[in-house]
Amino acid sequence: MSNDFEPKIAAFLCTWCSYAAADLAGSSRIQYPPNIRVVRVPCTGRMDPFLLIKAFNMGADGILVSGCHPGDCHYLDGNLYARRKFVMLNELMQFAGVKKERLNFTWCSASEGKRFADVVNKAVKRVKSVGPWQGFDGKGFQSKEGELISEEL
Amino acid sequence: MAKKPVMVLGGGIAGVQAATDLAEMGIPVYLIEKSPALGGKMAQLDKTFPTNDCSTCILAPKISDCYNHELVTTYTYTELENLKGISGNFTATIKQKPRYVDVDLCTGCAECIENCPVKVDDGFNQGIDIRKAVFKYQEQAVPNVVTIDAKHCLMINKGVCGLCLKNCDKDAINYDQKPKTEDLEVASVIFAAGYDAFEGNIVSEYGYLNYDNVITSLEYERYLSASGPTGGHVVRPSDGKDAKKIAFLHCAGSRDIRSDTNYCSSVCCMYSIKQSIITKEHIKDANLDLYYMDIRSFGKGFERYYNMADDTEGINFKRNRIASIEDDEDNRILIKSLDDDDNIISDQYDLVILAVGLKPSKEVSEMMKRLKIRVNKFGFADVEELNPLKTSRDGVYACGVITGPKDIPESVIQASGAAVMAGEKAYQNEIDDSELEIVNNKEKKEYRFVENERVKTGVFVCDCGTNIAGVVDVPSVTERAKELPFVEHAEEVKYLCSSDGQELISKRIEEKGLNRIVVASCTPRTHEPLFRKAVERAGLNPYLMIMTNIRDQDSWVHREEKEKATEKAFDLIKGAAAKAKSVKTLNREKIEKIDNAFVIGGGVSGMTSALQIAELGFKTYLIEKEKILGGKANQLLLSMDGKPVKNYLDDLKQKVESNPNLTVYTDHSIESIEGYVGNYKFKLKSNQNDETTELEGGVVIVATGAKELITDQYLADQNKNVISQLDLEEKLKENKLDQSIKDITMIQCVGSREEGREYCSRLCCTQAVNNAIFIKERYPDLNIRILYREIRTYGLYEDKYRKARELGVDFIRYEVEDKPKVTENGNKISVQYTEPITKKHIKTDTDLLVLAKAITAQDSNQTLSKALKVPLNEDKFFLEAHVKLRPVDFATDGVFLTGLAHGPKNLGESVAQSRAAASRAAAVLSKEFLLTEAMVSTVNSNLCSACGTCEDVCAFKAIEVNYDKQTAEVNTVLCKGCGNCVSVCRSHAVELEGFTNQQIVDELSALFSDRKSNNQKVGGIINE
Amino acid sequence: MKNYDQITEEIRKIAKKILNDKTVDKVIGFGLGTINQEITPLFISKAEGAKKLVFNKNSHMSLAKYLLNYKNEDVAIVAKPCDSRAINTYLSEKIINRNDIKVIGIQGCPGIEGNTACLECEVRNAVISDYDVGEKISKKKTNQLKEEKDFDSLSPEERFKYFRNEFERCTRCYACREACYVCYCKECFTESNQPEWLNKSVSLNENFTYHLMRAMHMAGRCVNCGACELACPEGIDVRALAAKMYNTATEIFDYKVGMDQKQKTLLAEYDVHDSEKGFME
Repeated sequence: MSNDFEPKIAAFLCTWCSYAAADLAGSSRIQYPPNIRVVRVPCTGRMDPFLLIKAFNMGADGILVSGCHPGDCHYLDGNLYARRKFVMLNELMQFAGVKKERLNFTWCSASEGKRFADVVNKAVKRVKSVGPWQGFDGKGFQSKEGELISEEL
Repeated sequence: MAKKPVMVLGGGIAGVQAATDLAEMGIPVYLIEKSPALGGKMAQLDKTFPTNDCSTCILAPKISDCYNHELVTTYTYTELENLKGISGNFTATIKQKPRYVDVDLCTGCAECIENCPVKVDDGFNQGIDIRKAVFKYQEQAVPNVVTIDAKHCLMINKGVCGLCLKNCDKDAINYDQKPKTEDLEVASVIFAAGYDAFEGNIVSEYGYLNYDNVITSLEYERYLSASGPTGGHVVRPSDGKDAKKIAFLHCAGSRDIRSDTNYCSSVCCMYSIKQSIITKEHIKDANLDLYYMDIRSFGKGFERYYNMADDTEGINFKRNRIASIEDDEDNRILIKSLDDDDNIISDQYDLVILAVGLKPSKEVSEMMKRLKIRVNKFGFADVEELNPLKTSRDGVYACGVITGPKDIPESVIQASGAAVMAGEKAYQNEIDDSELEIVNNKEKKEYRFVENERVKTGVFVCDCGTNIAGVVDVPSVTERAKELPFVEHAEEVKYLCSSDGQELISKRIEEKGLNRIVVASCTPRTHEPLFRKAVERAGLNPYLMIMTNIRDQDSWVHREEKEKATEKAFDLIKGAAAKAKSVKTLNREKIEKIDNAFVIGGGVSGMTSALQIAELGFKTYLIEKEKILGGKANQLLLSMDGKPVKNYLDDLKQKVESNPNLTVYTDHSIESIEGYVGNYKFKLKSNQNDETTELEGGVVIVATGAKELITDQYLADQNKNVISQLDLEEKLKENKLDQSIKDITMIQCVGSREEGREYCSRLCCTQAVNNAIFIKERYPDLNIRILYREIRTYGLYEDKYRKARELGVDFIRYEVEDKPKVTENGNKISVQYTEPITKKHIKTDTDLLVLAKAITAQDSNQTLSKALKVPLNEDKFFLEAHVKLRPVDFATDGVFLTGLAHGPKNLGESVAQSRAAASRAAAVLSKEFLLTEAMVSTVNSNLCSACGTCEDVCAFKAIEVNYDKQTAEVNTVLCKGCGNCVSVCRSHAVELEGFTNQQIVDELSALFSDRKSNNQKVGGIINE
Repeated sequence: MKNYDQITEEIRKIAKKILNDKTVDKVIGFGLGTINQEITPLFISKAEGAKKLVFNKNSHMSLAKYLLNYKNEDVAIVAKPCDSRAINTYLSEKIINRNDIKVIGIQGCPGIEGNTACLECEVRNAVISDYDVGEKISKKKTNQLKEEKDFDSLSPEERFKYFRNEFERCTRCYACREACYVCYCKECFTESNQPEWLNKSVSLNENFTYHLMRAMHMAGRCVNCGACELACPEGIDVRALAAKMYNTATEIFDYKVGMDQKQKTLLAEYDVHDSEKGFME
């Protein structure tokens, strides 16, 4: 694969901790790669695993999900319910052959701006290491103009 | 008529809590903070004990709720100059220091900071880091504006430089700003002025000034913080190398008769334990020694936390006395200490942390004196123990550390308590609406009906000066946005948040008939309320506005990758526009409620809460299962500071019984409880004649108390000369102490702090010491020995401990593995124990054995917890919503908690907490109606199979299955909008407004619309 | 362990008795169809009919799902161990009432021919039963996880390829869904258009997505009975993903679905110290 592959990662952040951490990385001007597309959710407890499967269905090269650290949930325990769902989904996706590097689950507190940047760096590196996501059919995705943007490995 | 405002002094957690509570009671508040931003000491903390909660995570939402509350006016960088007048009619003179920045213009973009050439020590980071002369008090500062430090600014001092102004797009810098003085008319005042940590050199022998690697605990807190100067790396200040071996010296300056801070600071043991646990999380192989006198883990959940640390390898508790501290040429610190047997032990450390205590700031003490508020010998506000929130000046209240050392939950409790007392003054002193600048905007808003309109989206892209436009190609993004589906209009704006920018949005909505708005600018966490209001002003429902963050999460973090940042910005706008297409008009519903309060439990806690609520004018029902009011306090002789309880109790009972708003149901039990916040129905049954009474109310306060442990340890209940501390108080009260008694032994921790009851009963040490003093003062020749594990006379009770020692009370420590042995010996009790220093076994006969029996939860807690749908902790005490910041609330709205039902605490603490519970309850009762959140869950009953999974996961009891209708139903009053129920619903019958599956899928599909699957038809093909 | 004929006899005896004494109005069991003597669900309401009930090596289908058609009626049901767990799941999901049903529980189930799931079965005895038939055997693990171990030796690429080959044949007839006892949503996510979880086109990307979503949908609810696999007309390995979820629940969360009627579902509870397997760092 070519080195200039720029993955696009769907990043689901809970509004109270991880989204705040991303904001803090911003106000601290900590630079990280521009490969994530943030979807803000109130709580990781809101994350239906279907949404994560759907992200791959629609062509995301990887996913990143980050919530409050266990114990810090603004809604008391939403992240603890979420954690189980993520472990189950992660196992399922890897079993089905989706590379683990595409599946990134973590926690970032509102004061961890630096950590958030580190997390993004790491996630981008991981996804880059496994190349473009070819879809569940392995046929790659087309850009709007019909041009094949990635070829099967 | 409006309520007269209240002034809250101090913008730390206590001040913020008090201000928010007052505002929630409908009272306007002036919140005065002397530093440039809200947050106080808590904002400087990394984690909090005993849950290791991230301090910022839990504090920041509270601050922003307070700051954005329409009834709170915040004055930062402001100090109180004078307070004239009397309770109900104060004139407070405040002085706003010049920050040389126009707060209304500054966007907090920090361009000025980057360009400022002057570097100075950063006070927020305890001087570990540097900041500029123009600075933001902290990264997440509220208000999010910069301040110029006049002492160091070149322009202000020398008239040269001006770089900050040059680099400010908004011309927000003003070097000519002058101090501003203002008079505020207020009904009452709350002092929540916090504290200063001790200076590092408070104990000069510890070498803080001489050795780089000796630092204070507050400095260390900044090292641990992920947003601190080292990003959470624990290093030696001398050379920046990793620190592995660390010593914590407890009581650095506290409990030290040589200093003028000779009290226990109450929090240092716990924060040192916390710091040691967090350090171990950072550095797995760290070796940590904690040097202590007594571990005072007396709060709720603290003992377990202490045990957890004690069980951690590499965290060592050493009850050694420090002999000397020196450093070597490598800057390692050598500590010599004496162990129990007076052996000298030497150890070397990379880092030594001084657990410095809390003291009132000198200026605040001086100010209080000047304003005729009495302070005690340490400089804390002098308050009465059983009226702990009221200062000596009428109408002036105090909360938090200003009344004595305490931790965060207790400060929060006091803050809520002080709020209701100060609020009562505001209720009694209503003023004409026109006198008030803060107008409570109550007129009902009519929104345009857009549901039958074609979707017409307006996209507004903010340049934020050069903050966004300097990186993102805003013109091109705006152009491309025009081509997106449903987008009617797209426009670039230099500053959307300016009043011009907001007006522009309103204008375009009217001009172009826009019915969905996308704002691409900064973070919705701070600016969503602002843009919602802008949209609202144009008659559009505020929830039709979607924000996307192309500054904090794009231009600021991809400065060198302009093209990619531009692409990302466009994607984000695409996503937001797609989401906007499927958003709906949302409303906050008004729910009728009943303005009565239930208080369960007629002890001091229950009576205090009930009376407070009744005094505010709400009808209150006080329910007590016994025939008389008073609970455990009926048995008490002395309060913790040694005052007779009886007078206080009689007075309280009399007030309760004569208050016209208060109905007392003694000798009644609760048959059933139904309903939820605003609409509770109680059925009571008289224990006398089984007659039932049905009552309605809006809130419930649980004040059911606790009970003394029933045990057979140490011959309890088997020998008449073995009694409990409570029994002893009854005897002393009635002067029934047998004259023949010449020798008394007290055993502490009977049933507390051991397996099965892993908590400290908190008040027994002080109670024992008090009773000992009482006896010694009357019978000086009587022998008293106290067998203890650790003396926990926390806070200012340390004085009592010293006094008891001076009076000749013997204090003898025992270990839990080697408890005293007690046998009968004729008329006497024979007590055998191990002398801690000589290790000799001593056997002595005593006339009276007094046991400090553990405080245990009521058996009835189980039933009540089920009926009210609120949880218990592992010790069967009621479990509050959040141990740190919501100490009197339950997760279930409308139910509050106080007194011993919450956990062991003394009478004064119960009184404070009961005021707090009343305060939180009053916030519900004082509203005209209850307002639901707009973004709540909804159930599509056509899809629901009534499996109840949603009910299982809802922490707020806001969703329940209605088995008659075979569908789940959301109680929108209780729903907090987390969406937990949505994601567990396998039938997708539950949706969360504002974050529906449709909206998120639409957003995703737009974000990845440049990728299209080939979608070749397959199926039924056998490959081989 | 008793054989099929012995178990059949016991089922008939019990059915006759409880229909006779009106304990129940109906017995749901297995019978033989008119064509080719194929196994078929049988609903008996008269005691005389009890003799038509059978239990043989082909009694594969999960009868539990029929309970949903007889809500609030007094019915008895013949339940293999897997079916008994399905019944418990229904009870915990409050879809049926315990008082309404009687379970004729097969103890020491001899298994179903051709059902690979039976090879992995570690229960073997009905976990809820009012009338035991057969005889209990120890919960000896049979060839448990045999299938999965094979997968473990494959690389992610190989597994990906394997599933693509499988799901390429899928026509999305949803026979797997219909056969599954946990599939009783009023509207299946496959049919939802708000949002459109699945594109209606039968393409590999969508097929694969469907099977992943189905597995996730059943995570912590699937009892690994194998009904879906037996139902697939294309012979696709449709059970593998769900079985993976089943085994993961056991291995990581020590969770076994359907063992108790009061059990909460896997994803509706948590432990503060739950595993974070596969999380970053």
